[in-house]
Amino acid sequence: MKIPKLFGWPLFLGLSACASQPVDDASPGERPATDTDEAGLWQMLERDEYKLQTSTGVVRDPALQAYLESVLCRVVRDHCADIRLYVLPGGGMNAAMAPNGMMLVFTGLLVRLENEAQLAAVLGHEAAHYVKRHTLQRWRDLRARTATLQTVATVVAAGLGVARVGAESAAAQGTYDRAVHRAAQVARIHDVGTALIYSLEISTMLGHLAYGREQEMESDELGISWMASAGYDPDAASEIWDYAHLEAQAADRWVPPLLLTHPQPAVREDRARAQATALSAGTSRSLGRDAYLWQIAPFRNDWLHLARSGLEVDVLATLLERQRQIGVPEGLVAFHEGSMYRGRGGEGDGERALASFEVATQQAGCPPEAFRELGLAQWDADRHAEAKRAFDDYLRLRPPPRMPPWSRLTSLGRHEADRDGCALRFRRRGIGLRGLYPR
Amino acid sequence: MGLDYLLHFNAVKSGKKMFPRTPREMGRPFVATMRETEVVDLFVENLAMRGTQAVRLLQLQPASFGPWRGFSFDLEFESVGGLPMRGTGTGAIIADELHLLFYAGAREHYFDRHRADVQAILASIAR
Repeated sequence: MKIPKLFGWPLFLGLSACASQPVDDASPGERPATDTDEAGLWQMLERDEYKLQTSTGVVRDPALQAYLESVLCRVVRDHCADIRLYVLPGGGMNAAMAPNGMMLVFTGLLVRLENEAQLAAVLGHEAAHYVKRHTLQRWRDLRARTATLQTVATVVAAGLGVARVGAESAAAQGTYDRAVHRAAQVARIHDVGTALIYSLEISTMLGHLAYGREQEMESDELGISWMASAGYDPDAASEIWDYAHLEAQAADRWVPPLLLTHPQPAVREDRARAQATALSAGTSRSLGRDAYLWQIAPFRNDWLHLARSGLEVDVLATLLERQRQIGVPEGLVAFHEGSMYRGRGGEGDGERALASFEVATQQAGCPPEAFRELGLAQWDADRHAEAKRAFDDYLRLRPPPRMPPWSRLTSLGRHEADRDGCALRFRRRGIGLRGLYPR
Repeated sequence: MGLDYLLHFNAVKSGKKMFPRTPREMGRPFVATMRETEVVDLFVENLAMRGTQAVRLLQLQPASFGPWRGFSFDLEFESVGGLPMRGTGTGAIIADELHLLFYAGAREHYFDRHRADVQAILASIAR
């Protein structure tokens, strides 16, 4: 509906009058009073959190959980007991913070980070949203704006005889469009985490109450300040935005979910770097690279597999190159590269895939499936004798599982007992995947 | 999806999604050059997008799909509501099109109840 110009100004002024009202920072251990709007938000999210706690979709590994929580607590200190961290399977570079202290970290983010300091930067940033009560601020802003729109629309309808519902539905439509747009973007996660997060109220909240840029800047600053106080190198924060920028450039229409509502990565990178320079003058800071890579190593293959199913090829290629820079064993990177070419299926991709699988199976860190894929690619190329050897290697690494009594199937198969497999010669030496990382 | 169900993917063309109503932004399409392992991966991804949790591929092997050479696989998973389920699928890529029958049921009672019927359907597939 077109609103006459005469009424455009009051609408504009009305909206401007709804500028964000400041709220106090959350104190450690604080819970909102039961008769407040904040308590209503918490109740809604506590139902979400119960779903997470009972869902098998959440990544539950005691060692990983303890490690991530130790980094979180080192960064947020007094707020440690207020924040619960959940790892969700998802290929996107994403994390989210709910106003009740429920923090979601996606595996796609963890697989892209290089060290503990970068993890600390992300966790600190998300925790800062909680401490600064940013969602509550956005919630109050949205309510105030909706009320203003309705009031103005009523005046318009009374004075000119046009339908009040027009402006109201325009407002509703705007919100709806944003929610749908946001949903489509979140949906790029394409996997278990997607379905799980869609079942939660927080996904709607993320769509409607996305943080503003000033809030993001504020969280950046507080997060970097916390991580520096915890002894981490604050330069790590700008490195994340540097990489996010690369992914954003890799495909025109792809935006990493973490950046959807955020300032431009380049702006953010500059600000983070300036703050880091000021904070780290004359001090020695820790990166925690080896500890981080060691903790993530057992999961990296599965998490890259998740990412592979959801990302466009250009973005995936950037992600895999990132894995090389991080120091991920070449056997694992080349295997996923080969699978990426297989998935694309363009001209010459079959040969590229074969070459990648050949590299993978000659290098440390390759999963057993690399031998299977190598065999299949060699079979396609009519190299049957070599293919048979590759299949034999695969079956040695992944022996057929004991069949369930209800199955009528008997021969080939794959089982999940051995998740950190690596090339035969490394297995023979008794070196697991973690052994390929420095410690 | 209920306590047991049968999904029939009939002649999915290369470049098309397995579930036609899948939003454009979500999921990969089927590609005729996919191998059996990749088709099963694609199918599992589609199940996961619909809320299926903790999917475990137990078995994948060559199998006949009527007169055609195809593949079959067995899964264990949990439904959206957390109910333990079993599933078995049989399919083939015929003239660059994917044909797949997937039967799933609650692990307790329901999976076994209609399995024989599903096998009879599979046995009836003809050129």
